[in-house]
Amino acid sequence: MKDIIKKINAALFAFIVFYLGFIGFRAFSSGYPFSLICYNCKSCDSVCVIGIDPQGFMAASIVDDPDIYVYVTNYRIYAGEAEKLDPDMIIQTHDRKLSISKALRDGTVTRDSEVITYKMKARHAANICIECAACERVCPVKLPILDVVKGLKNKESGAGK
Amino acid sequence: MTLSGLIALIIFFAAIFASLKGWISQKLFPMQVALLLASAIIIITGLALGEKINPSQIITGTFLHPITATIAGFILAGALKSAGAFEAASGWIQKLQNSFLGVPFAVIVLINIPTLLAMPCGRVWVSPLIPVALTLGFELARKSEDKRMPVIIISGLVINAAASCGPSLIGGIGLIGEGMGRYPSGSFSDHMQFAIMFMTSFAMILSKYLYNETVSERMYDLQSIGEKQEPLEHGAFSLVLFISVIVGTIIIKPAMPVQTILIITTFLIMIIAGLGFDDLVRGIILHPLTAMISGFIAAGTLSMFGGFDVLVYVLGYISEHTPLGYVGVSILLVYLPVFLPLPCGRIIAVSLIPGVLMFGEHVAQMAGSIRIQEVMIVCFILSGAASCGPSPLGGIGSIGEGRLRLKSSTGRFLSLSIFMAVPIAGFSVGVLGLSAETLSKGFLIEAVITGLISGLVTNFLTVKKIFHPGGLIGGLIVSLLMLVL
Amino acid sequence: MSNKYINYFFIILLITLIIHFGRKAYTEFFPGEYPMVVATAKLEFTAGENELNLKLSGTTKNGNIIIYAYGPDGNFYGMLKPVKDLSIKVRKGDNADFMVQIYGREIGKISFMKKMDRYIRKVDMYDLIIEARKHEWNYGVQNCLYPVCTRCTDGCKSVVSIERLPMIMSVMDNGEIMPVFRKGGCPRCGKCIVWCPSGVIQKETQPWER
Repeated sequence: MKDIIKKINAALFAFIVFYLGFIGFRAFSSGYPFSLICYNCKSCDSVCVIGIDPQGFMAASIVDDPDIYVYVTNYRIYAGEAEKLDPDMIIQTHDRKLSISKALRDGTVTRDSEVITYKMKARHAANICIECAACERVCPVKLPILDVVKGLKNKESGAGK
Repeated sequence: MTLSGLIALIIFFAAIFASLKGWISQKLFPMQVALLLASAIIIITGLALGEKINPSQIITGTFLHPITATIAGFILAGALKSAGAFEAASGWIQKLQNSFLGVPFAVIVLINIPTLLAMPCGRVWVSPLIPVALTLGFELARKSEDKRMPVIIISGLVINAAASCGPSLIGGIGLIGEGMGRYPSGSFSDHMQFAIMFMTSFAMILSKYLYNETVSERMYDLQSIGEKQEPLEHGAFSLVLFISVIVGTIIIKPAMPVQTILIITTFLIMIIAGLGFDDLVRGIILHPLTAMISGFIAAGTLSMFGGFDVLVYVLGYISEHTPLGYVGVSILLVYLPVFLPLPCGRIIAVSLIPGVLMFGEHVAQMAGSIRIQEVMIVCFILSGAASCGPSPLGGIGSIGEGRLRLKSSTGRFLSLSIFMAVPIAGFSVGVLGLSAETLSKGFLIEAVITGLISGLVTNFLTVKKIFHPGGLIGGLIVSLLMLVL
Repeated sequence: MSNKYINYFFIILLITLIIHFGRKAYTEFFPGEYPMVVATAKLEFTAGENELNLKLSGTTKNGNIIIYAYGPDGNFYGMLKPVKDLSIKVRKGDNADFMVQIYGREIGKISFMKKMDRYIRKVDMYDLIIEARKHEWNYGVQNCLYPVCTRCTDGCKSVVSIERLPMIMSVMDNGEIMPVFRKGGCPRCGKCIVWCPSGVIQKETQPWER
């Protein structure tokens, strides 16, 4: 019995080491290995007027998946457009945070309402980014965030969809 | 609030508490395995409840920065050890001890180095400084015949290093709060640095009076063997190189990750001292690394199912339906990272800052002062940053415990020192406010008071005399440098 | 510590200082044309019940526009709005995203009004525009995304090292904040044209089409 547990433990520890290697591999395969450098310090977050969290772009590069959800806390969009983009997009309305499809379903908003976003897929966030480069200016390690944004803009949906 | 989120939160808490309390035997399932299994159960439950699962979203919960900083720190520590830098440092400390400034000066400077030259992860400093602190601790223990000395000094160093990622201006946790809360960049730093000096003093006092375990005799023997070694030729130069690189990084703030700088320094030391790769690998300890990664995986899984959102919802519910109210729950929220000590404060900081801002706003409205929100966020960040000290999931404290071969956990009194020091940061913000410009009269007075009190405590703990020039001068130098750097 | 090590220390310090202070400014130079600043499209206002309808005469490059109004404190309040079919709606409850202190034509401190998902200070843009119309304070829309974006001046600063930059931001008579271009000292590198995300800065000969 103890041998089996030992084997399970060893396998799971090996998994942890493999997991770290896998992240590195994914970051390289995405073409943006520098995303591994990101400090997650959120300096960039404070200067984006749309409220995009550019660290999310780095995270999307690390996992090579443009469908991960990132914070976009201050972008105004028509509800109909938001639903068309992604029905699971999280929006803020009446001090609540809920998916756009749910908000439309329960009548909180109509398709013509303008809503403020909260979380959306990285590639959608890249498409609304106005490329002002404020995030790049404040990045303590000067990561070329706009390169990632441009890359994500043209990316097809990944494994997450 | 979703059902899967609630279940995920319960499983996560259950796994952590069961491991901490020993209900899950560490001999059978170490913490890492328990966390991975908890993550697997959360995922299976989520699938059963019809949730969509994106493995990438779990991976994004893993913050690589503290992991790579730890590895780089370990590698550099390995190189410094092999080059004989720690023997050289011990020699210098010996000389310092014989000067009029004496032991208190050496102790107060050494244990406050991580916060003075704050790195984005305290592990960068802990790995190379622990051997020096150990030497000093054992030396003091022999002189004062107080066998708690190594534990006292290591505790001070560990909590100082753990919390130091809070005020770090080169990618520290404080920047997360400033970024998400839109406060001036660097405005949290000095408040936190002074509170950490107090936290360090508290940890040292508590370890002297509350922690009963002493270091085994075997460790003294090992240390004696170590001392007999001849100082190596390149030890002093390696040490000077390391310190000047770190000081240069803090002053210049180059657009280069600190990990790269550390690795380049390691290569330079390797060339100078003629070291091989085996010497570097010697410094790596896998336990904190694996614990940290498994902690990140578990937190990533929890985050994907909205576990942290559920937590904020539950806290909101408690504040509205119990006598605790918003004020009581806000205090709970500020100390939540200490109740839930994860391997890196970033996990909880990123997940809960929106909740802290929300609660801060409610309390600020009730109190009629917007500054309450600032106080709350600084206290929460400090509590989060320091929480990796007492964390049993590969926290910085476990490095110290490992090096001292202690059997019982130091987590309890390290947590207590966080509890005691966090309000000091809050008081400082309340009185002086948040500003990126800290070279003011108010901050100067705070620096002098902090330096003097820390000096007095260090004097008392090391030489049993309150008034000694070493501690007071050392404390003042450290606190004033914190103001400038 | 022997003198040898002190010497090593100073050598390292010297190298670090040389690297730090010796870093030259970015001086990429590619010949091009003088930039041209394009005025914001004309606007028609229709006030409705709790809603303002704004109709633009031309579209914007990235589908967003800044709506601004000056407050009683003389400061510039703005919000970034999506443009749909050349029209923009400002509804009651639409809060300002940022505030800029204005001193004549000079620009002072900029502050964002939102942190994460909540507002630090709520300034209702609908109310403010109605007030501004009543008191004849400046209000309107601007294509240039300043202060959200400062790409043109950043690009200019990275190429031109003289004190008097050819591209600066200034406050217009109608309260709009726009880049102002002066030919003297412009190396015609084209960086401001390439970097401008809103299409306000264009080539003289080949303007971006509305």
